[in-house]
Formats: sequence, structure tokens, C-alpha cells
Amino acid sequence: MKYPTHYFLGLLLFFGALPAHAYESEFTFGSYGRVGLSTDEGLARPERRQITSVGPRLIQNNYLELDLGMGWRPNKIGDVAVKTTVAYLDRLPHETADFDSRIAVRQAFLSVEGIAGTGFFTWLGSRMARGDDIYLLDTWVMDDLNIVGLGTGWRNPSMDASLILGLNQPMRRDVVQRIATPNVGFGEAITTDLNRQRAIVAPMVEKRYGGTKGALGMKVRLYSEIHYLPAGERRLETVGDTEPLPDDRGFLLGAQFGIWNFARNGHLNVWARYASGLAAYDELQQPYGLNRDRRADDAREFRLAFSGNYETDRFGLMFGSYFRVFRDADANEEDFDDRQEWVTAVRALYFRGVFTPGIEASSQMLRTNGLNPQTDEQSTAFIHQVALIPALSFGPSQGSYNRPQLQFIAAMTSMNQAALDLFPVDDQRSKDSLSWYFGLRAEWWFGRGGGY
Amino acid sequence: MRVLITLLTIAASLSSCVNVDLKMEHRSLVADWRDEIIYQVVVDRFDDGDPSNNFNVDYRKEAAYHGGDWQGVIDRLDYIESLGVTALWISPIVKNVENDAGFASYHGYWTQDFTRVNPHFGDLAKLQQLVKACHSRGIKVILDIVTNHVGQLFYYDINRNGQPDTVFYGGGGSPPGSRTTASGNPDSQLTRVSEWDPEFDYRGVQGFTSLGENGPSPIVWVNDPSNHRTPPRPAEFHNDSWYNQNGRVTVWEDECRCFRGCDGTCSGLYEPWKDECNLSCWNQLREQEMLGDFPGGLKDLDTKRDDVRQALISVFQYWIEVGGFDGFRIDTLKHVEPEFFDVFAPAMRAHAAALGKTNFFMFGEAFDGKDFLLGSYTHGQGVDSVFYFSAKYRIFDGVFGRRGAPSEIKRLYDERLELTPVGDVVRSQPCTDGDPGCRTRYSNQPKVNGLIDEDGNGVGPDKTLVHFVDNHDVPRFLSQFPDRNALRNALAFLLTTDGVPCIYYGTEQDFEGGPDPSNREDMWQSGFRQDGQTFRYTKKLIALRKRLAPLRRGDMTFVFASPEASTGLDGTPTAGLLMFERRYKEETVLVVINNHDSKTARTLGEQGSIKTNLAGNLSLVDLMDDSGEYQVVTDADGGVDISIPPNSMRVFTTAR
Repeated sequence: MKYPTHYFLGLLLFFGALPAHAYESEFTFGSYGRVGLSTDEGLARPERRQITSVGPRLIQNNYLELDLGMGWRPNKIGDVAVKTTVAYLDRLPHETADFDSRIAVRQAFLSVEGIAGTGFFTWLGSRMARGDDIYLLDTWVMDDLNIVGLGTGWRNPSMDASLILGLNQPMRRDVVQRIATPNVGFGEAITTDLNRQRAIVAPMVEKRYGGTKGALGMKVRLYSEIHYLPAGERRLETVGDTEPLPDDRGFLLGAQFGIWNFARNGHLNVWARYASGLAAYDELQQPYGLNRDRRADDAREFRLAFSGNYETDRFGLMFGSYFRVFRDADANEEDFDDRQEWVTAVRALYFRGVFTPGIEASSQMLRTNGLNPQTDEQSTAFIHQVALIPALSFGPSQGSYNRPQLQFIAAMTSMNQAALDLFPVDDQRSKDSLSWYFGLRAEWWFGRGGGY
Repeated sequence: MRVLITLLTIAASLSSCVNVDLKMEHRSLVADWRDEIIYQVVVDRFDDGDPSNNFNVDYRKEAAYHGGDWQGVIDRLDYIESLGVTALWISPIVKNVENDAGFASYHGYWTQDFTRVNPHFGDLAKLQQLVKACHSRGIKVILDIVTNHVGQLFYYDINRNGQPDTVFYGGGGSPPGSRTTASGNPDSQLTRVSEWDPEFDYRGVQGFTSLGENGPSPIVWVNDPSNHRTPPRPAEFHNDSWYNQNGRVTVWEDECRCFRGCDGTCSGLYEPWKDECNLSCWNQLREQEMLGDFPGGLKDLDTKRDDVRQALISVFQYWIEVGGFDGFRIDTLKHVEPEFFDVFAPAMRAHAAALGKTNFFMFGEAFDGKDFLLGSYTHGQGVDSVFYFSAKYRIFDGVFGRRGAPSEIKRLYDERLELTPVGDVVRSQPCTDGDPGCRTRYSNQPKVNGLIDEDGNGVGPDKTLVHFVDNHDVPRFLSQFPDRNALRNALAFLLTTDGVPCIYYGTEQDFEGGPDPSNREDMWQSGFRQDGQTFRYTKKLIALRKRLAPLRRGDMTFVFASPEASTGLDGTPTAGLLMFERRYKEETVLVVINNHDSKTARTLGEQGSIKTNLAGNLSLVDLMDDSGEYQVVTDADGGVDISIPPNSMRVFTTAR
């Protein structure tokens, strides 16, 4: 850039030329939460029995998200907002007497929508960049990026296009190494030695047909990720020795087809996603099962999933299904890490005023390509679960997604021997082929549409 | 839609389930174990074929896991096959205690679970892949097993405080200012005892408090899953009474101490039967060796118990079945009473045979240079063979490493069938033929259902002793004797003598590591090169051994073994010269080795040409001479006049 100051001045002139505009500020608050108590038949705290990478959300620990936002609109260049999401994880202090809560800041970003009156938008910061989910399985199948980065795109009523550029550096020894080193003068200083970040570029385009004002809608969404991790060198304990870490890369390609508005709250989504190399692993996860070059190059993952909801005035039917094939990067074909898994859940609901009882059935299946190291056997593990969910829903809307909701959950879970064998031999879950869960839970969400 | 179809196509290719086939084919691949050339591999150090199992790996630390695994061995079978070896001895496969006192179990000798594989090396399917891959190339696989002990899975709670301590006894004597020095305890010695690994006590390790000994020390099993230090499996091994609980063997620290108390010499160690005193010392030494924990706190199993024997039989029969192995190398043999193997070995043979595998080879490691002790394990129905440690010390180190007199080789061979007293009996008279109180040092009797040759005849242990230049328990040959010519002379003898030769990985690459763990180098450092002089020489010798049946199966007759050292300029023309014949089914091979470091030898003695047992006027050609030009003709008496440069060998067969 030969004359950077010229560009800077140009930007100033551009923003300065925008008409002065009165704006309103608005504080927003939203939340997702599930909280309650649970027990098994012996008054023990039940443990989740899940053998697939995602599982039914019915039996989950407590979780709370608080969205706090401030919006200024219309601003000189568009609708500006700041949003933060604080997440509270797992067990409650009144249950555990532990007041040191596990809190995560899951979102903190600034966004500008409708830039200069167009469909352009952008955001900058830390956020969950997600598409549609499968509610019953609590998962985002195709696009579910936890990223610190910059997003930009264009949106109109029938189309979205966006591009996310982000970086991450989980505090893991394969990407960052902090070491003690002699300080200038006395003592030691902590310095960063190994220091590499994973770069992710994620383009997305979505085309919608109809779907407004209650009309039947249809959409196609294409999504991709490109991952890159530069090479590095890790210092070893032996003075002077280092271990080279090669660069790594991966890509992901996904497609979603969806229709909605064919009934009240009705929708049907189908996803297919293929990922390879680094992208076959979650962006915050350390790749495992590397190849001889210590790279994730040869890893592959495929997901195929469905979700839907259909309801009438009195009845509702929700379902979600998820199939996943994973091969790690090593050359071992008979590999316990290489697996195919399938999970599906169906929930039938009855609506009568606030009384919204349901019944849910779900199954998990896992077959690995290698032997279980605990048994030296290759087998197919199954978990089947049936649950009664008498519930009271108090929200202003109606149907399956009416929240807040009070749920009583009585679930029976059955596991075959192969599933039991997936737990360590001293784990109680390896012993009980039949287990019970009784829970009382409140679940809510509101104000989740954005920070303004 | 096209994208979706593409994705579904990819899914279909991905979703093809892999079904692991755990069935193993069991059949004997061995016509005669004397035909085999064993190659020993420490799996962790051979090649890292699958980084995904690299847990706790640090290849900069000699005593840490380095990442080698069974996939690495599979990946290098071309190399192994290229060398020409025919059997692969792999280090132990079972799950181990992970770490102890900063040392890792990369070697595999710290069993925690007898029936599960060590995940550092792969899983059972991968192990089977290795065995199948070897078998498809005609390479047999020998599994290294341990029957003597398990890993350090419990400690002796000597002071009964419920935690593993280092305990100190005594005060080290009264301090100088003590008024009670005279009447108190001026000689009170300070003794340090580790509760993990206390020293041997024939009564069993004793508890001790400030009031003195308080009876047998309790043992405490440890539960440290992160270190795989949990009670042994299968569960029946988690039984206090299955362990001798006598503490660690210490006799090696001064093996002769007791014997010197008898007649001022150490000779009783080698002839314990000569009087009551020496025999008593010997029995005490053996008691400790057989009942004591192996150094490192490896807890000694009470292998005299029937239930322990049956449990060990079960687990190792299991490994024959699921592993498809062709033989066992048995660790720490001399720390288990020979009678155990009279039960264990037949059970293994029977099980292997029932599966369809005859000629199942079991040889043990009795780390000892005393022939009568080594040989004691070859009698009865026990193991088929042992490592020929006395040859290691006296021939490979003594003659080839130190350039000693080749006559020592003949002497050792002559001693092999020397008669030796049996049992706890004092006898001052030498053994004579037919004496029921005596037997040959190594058994020459085949085992029932034991090893057989191609014609179905039994082969005795004295014919299948396992020869080796070095292994993972001793310093590399080149570490002790940094002379590659000497190494090649040693290899020349190894691959032309009788028995079963065994080559330690890296020897062919001139590795020169010192004592354990330095002698367990990463093989990948060599680049698996095949152009080195020692590699090519070893390969050539192996090819020759495979080509010439007499070198593998023939009887051995010494023609000449020089009594002169193989070094120096003053000797006769035969200094350093070794000549022997190998004869099998009317075919004879004459081997001539000049071990001298600088002088060309000539087979001319004071009486003229050295006489062989070959016919007169026979044309012989040297197969080590690639040009085929070096030929000699025996004279009328079978004598030959051969000239041979220093550090070289000639192998003659009849010219055709």
C-alpha cells in the first residue's frame, strides 16, 4: 500500500459525508436456560448415557445463557449493536455448595446491519456462528463455528451470502507453549514459544423461496470451511531439543435443504456435510489419530441429518436423526477411532392449554471399525430410550416450541453389552443395562433474536 | 441436488464398515527350527508407523516410550525380508504399568494385564495384522513372554502406615556427645529400605516398627489408573498368596560372597556339588533367584502353586490362539524353578498342536554363563532351548570381541555334552558314563511332541541352542568392542555354527549403544539403509546359510581351532584360525574363519596341511568369494592348503 494515509482519509470522508441521523438506543436481554433436579431410582444423580458424538437432549445437565445487548439504530452507517452472551455451565451452587461457577463468555461482538441502507452487514468479535439446529439432539449439523473473527455479507429477503474469517488458539500444547525463561536481570519471565493459530475461512450462501407471511417456504444453503494451521516447533523438556510440528489444513463442504410453513411451526431440514483433514475435527478440538507426517490430512467425516416438526392444534411430532461416519488420519483401517454412528429421536406431543405432555423415543448406535480395547471385540453398541414428558407450557405461542416450560421426565434407558463395554469397567454405567431417570426441569428461551 | 448426490457418493465410500476378522490360521510354518534365523525387535524402538498411539512419547529420553509400534514393524517387513531373516522375535505385547521411577515400560516386561495388548503398540487386530503379514512372507513370529513376575503393582507396607515409603532402620551409631555411647548402641547401622523394592529376606519381607520386627509385612495393591498401576488382570492374579513376597534378588551384587566363605575361592559357584558348604551356598543363591522379586520391584509369582501355573498356562494358551505365534521367547527363565516349565511347556505344545501348529518353539532367557545352570532348563519336558549365554561370553565376547584364542570355541562345544552331577547331592568323584547321578549339561533328548526336523525326527535342545552376538539386555557388541571387523567375524561364526542364530535389530546397522537402555536405539535413525558393509555382509551370510543345508542342520566337527590369540605379530601362520565342518546327509561344508586382526592365515601346521575329514583330491570352491575363483583341492589325506586374509572367512563346498 503506497499511500495508506490516502485510504484512511477517504474512509473519513465517506463516513463524514453520511447524513446526520437521530438514533435510538435499546437495551436487549435474552436467555436460554434449562435447570432442574434429577435422580435415578436409588436417589443417585443420574449420569448421561451417550455413545455417539451427539445425543438426545432430554437428559442433560443444567445450562444457562444470558444475552445482554445494546443497539443503536438507525446509526449513520446502519444498525449498530453490541451483544454479549454469558454461559453458565453444569451444576448449581445450591446443589453443590460450590460457588465458583464455571462461566464462559460465549459471545462478545459488535455488528452493523444494513450498512448505508443496503443489505450489507458485518460483525467483529467472538461469537457462535450457527445455522439451523436439531432441537431434539441439541446439535447444529452443518454450520456451527465458535470463532473469534470478522464476518461480512449481504442479505435480502430471499438470499443471504456471508464470509467469515477467523482465528483460534485453544490453550493446548500443539498450538501454544508458554515457557519460563531467564528474565532480563533477575528471575524468570513467562514467554510464548510455540505460537500458531488456526485460520478458518467460512463462506456461506442461502437462497430462499417464499416463506414470508406464512406462505410455504423453501431454502437451499451451501456452506464451506477452509482450515489452515501453520507449522511450528515445540520445545521439549530436554534443554535444546525441539519437536517440529508440520502445518495442517482441511476443508468442509455442506448443503442444507429446508422447507417450512407447511403447518404450524412446521419445518423439515436435510443436511449433508463432508469434511476432510483438519476440518474433520471440531475447530476447538485437538486432532487425533494423525498420519505418519503428524498431519490430519487423511481424516474424513461425513454427516447426514434430518430434523422436522409437524403439528396440529392438538398434536405435534418432532424428530431428529443424525448419521455420522468418521475416519481419523492414521493409516489404520481396523481402528477403534474410525466409526459410524447414528442417533435418532422422535417426540410426540399433545397440546391442551398449558398442559403439553409428550412421549419421546430415541436410539443411539455406534459401530467402530476396530476392537474395543477393553474387550478386544468388535461389536455394535445400542442405547434405546423411552421417556414420558408430562409438561406445562406457559409461553405466548403454541405448540412444540412453546416456552417457558415445566417438564417432568421419566425415562428408561436400555443398553446392550457392547454399549456397556464402552464405559470403563469401574463406571456404574458399564454395569446397568437398564437405567432410570426421573427429572423435573424448567426450560425457557426468549429474546434470542439478536442484540437489538 | 448435484452437490447432494456427490456428498452421498462420498458418504457411501466412507460408510463401508470394516469388519475385523479375528480368526487366525494355525499351521506350522517350520520344517526344522535350525533352518530359521531369528531377528529380535524391540517394537517401541523399531518404527513409528502409527503416531495416533503415541501417548507419553518422548524419543529424546532413553527410558521413555519412543513411539514404535506394530504398524511400524509391518511397514518395515520389506527391510526385514531383505536382510533374509526368517523369524521375528517381538518384545512383549501385554498391557504394562506405564511408568516407574521415571522409567517407562516401552520394553514390555512390566505386566499389568496378561490378556490385553499394550495400547502403545496398537490393538489386537493390528497385532494379528502383523502376524498375518509376517506369515504371508514366510516369516515366523516369536512372542516374548514373562512367567516369572508382574509389574510393580504392590508395595510392602513394612512400617504399616498405609503408604509407600522409604524406611530407615537404625540410627547410624550414637552421636559423639552421647553419654550412652559405651553402654548404648554404638554400632547401630543405618539401613535404608524402599517399600517398593525391599531386599530379599528368605522368611518373606518383614514388617518393622520402632520396636523392631513385627512379622511378615503386609502388601498393599496400588490403584493408580493414570499410570496403569492397578491390580493385575485377569482378576485371579489379584491374590496376595500368589506372590512369594520375599523382596528383591540381590545375590548378583556379589555372587561369590558365600562361596568364598567355604574355601576362599569362587569356584563353588561353578561346581557347587563339590562339598556341603558350596552346595548350601548354591541352594541359597538359587532360592533367592527363584523366590525373589526381579529388580525394579517386579513382583515374583509363586510358580510352584498349581493355580498360578494353571492361570499362566491359560493366558499364554490364549495368546497362541489369538496371536497365531510360532514360538515363545521366555523371559527371566532362571528366576522360575525348572519344574514349572515341565508343566507349562507341554501344555503349550499340546495347545498349539491342537490348533494345528506343531514345532512350537520355546526358548528361555537364563541370563547366566554357567552351562550346567543353562542346561538344567533343557532337561525333562521343559523348554526346547535356551539362549546360549556361555557362548555369548566365551565365544562372541571372548574370542571375537577380545581376539582370544579360537580353541576356546571348541572347548565350549566339547563341554556341551560333558557329564554333570544332578540334584542336591555332594559328590567328589567325576561323573562317568552311565552314572545315574549325572547327565549331559544340555539335554540331547527331544521333547514329547517337541521340535522335529523335516523327516519327523525329534531334535534335542543341544541342537537348537539360540546363539546371539548381543541383545537388548547386554551392551551392543560394538559398544564393548569398537571394531567392525570383529563384529563381522562374530557374525560369520553366528551364521555358520549350529543351533539357531539370533540377530538383534541394529546390529546389521553397526549400532553401538552401551548398556540398557542405551542399547535400545531408534532403528529409524539408521534410515533402514541396505548399503552398509555390515548389512550386506550379514545378508550374504544369511543367504549362504539358507542355501547350504549343512550350515543349518549339519553336525559340527572342529578341524582346527588355534590356541593362539587372534592378535599380535608373533604367532604362527595359524594364529586366530578356526576351521570346522558342517555335515548333513552326505554333504559337507568347510568353514574357515581367520579371526586375526592383522595377519593372513594359512592352514599349514607343523605336520603340513591341516587335515580335514573330506575325501582326498576333492575340489573345493569358496562361496564367500563372489568371483568363484578361489578354489582348492584336498590332498590325498584330505588336507587343504588355504590362505585367508585377516578378518575374513571362507566357506567351501565341493566344486561342481
